[in-house]
Amino acid sequence: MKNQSAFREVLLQARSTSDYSRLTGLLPYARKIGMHCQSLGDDALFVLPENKENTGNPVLPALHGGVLGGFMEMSAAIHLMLFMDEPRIPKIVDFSIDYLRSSRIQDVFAECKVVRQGSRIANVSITAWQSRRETPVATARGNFRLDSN
Amino acid sequence: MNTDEQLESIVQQFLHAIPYCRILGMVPEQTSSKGVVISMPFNEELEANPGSGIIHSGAITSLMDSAFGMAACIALPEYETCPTIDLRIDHLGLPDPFKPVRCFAEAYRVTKTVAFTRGVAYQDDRDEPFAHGVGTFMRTGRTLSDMAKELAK
Repeated sequence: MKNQSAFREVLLQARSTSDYSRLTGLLPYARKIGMHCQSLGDDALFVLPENKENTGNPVLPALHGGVLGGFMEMSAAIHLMLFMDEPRIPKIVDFSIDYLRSSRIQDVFAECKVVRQGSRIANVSITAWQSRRETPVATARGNFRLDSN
Repeated sequence: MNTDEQLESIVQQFLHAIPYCRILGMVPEQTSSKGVVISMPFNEELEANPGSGIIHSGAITSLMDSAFGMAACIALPEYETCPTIDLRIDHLGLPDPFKPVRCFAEAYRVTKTVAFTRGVAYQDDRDEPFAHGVGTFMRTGRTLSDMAKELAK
């Protein structure tokens, strides 16, 4: 798989340089919703910039809940790729999201925390906010498989 | 109570009015008081890895969220805006590459305040789903036109 080895190379580079800007460009779904990832000290910050295409309720107007979910899930997967002891491609097992507030058509930010990384499964919690980190629009949790293949 | 034809037209209008659903090409395939089936075509922009033909789980989440929301709406006696309270998706396997995906969703219980929904994502056979999910939605009692009026104030 040529694409996969190219991605692996960029991932290794991102891990060693803390420059995460090229990663999301290689993942079609991440590119489609327009998300990107930047380093924040030793951590990563995920950003879903304001984009009218991602509207779910044109009357309010509010962001589509499914886009927010997809963004948070993708953030968790990239976070694992960047911060696991060994670079592996995590596979989603299940994903659960709580919507806490209506999210407006504005930038969304997300940060992830690996609650537990075992040898086979990693549990990641994700928090997303818009105006203030203290008032999250959603929290989510994902379990990922960490097979080596 | 709406007839199945009326429900179908409501779902169609909704999907069309929601920019993200329209962009992903979601279309209703079946609508009745028992639930909805919404399909989404394969699109390489939704791939997990370029060239893999596999739609990313995030896009599946979007499809299921939309279908669950539709199922919640049509289960209510009158249309209300229903924000999602929570959503959980189990990814049982991978969808087949380069093929459209579908989601069947139904509201299995509606109370005064909450609509409980569940459903599966599949391709050819509903009994062979690649994802399973549940979602809960809050009943606001506010119709879309109420909301538009409030916003106009």
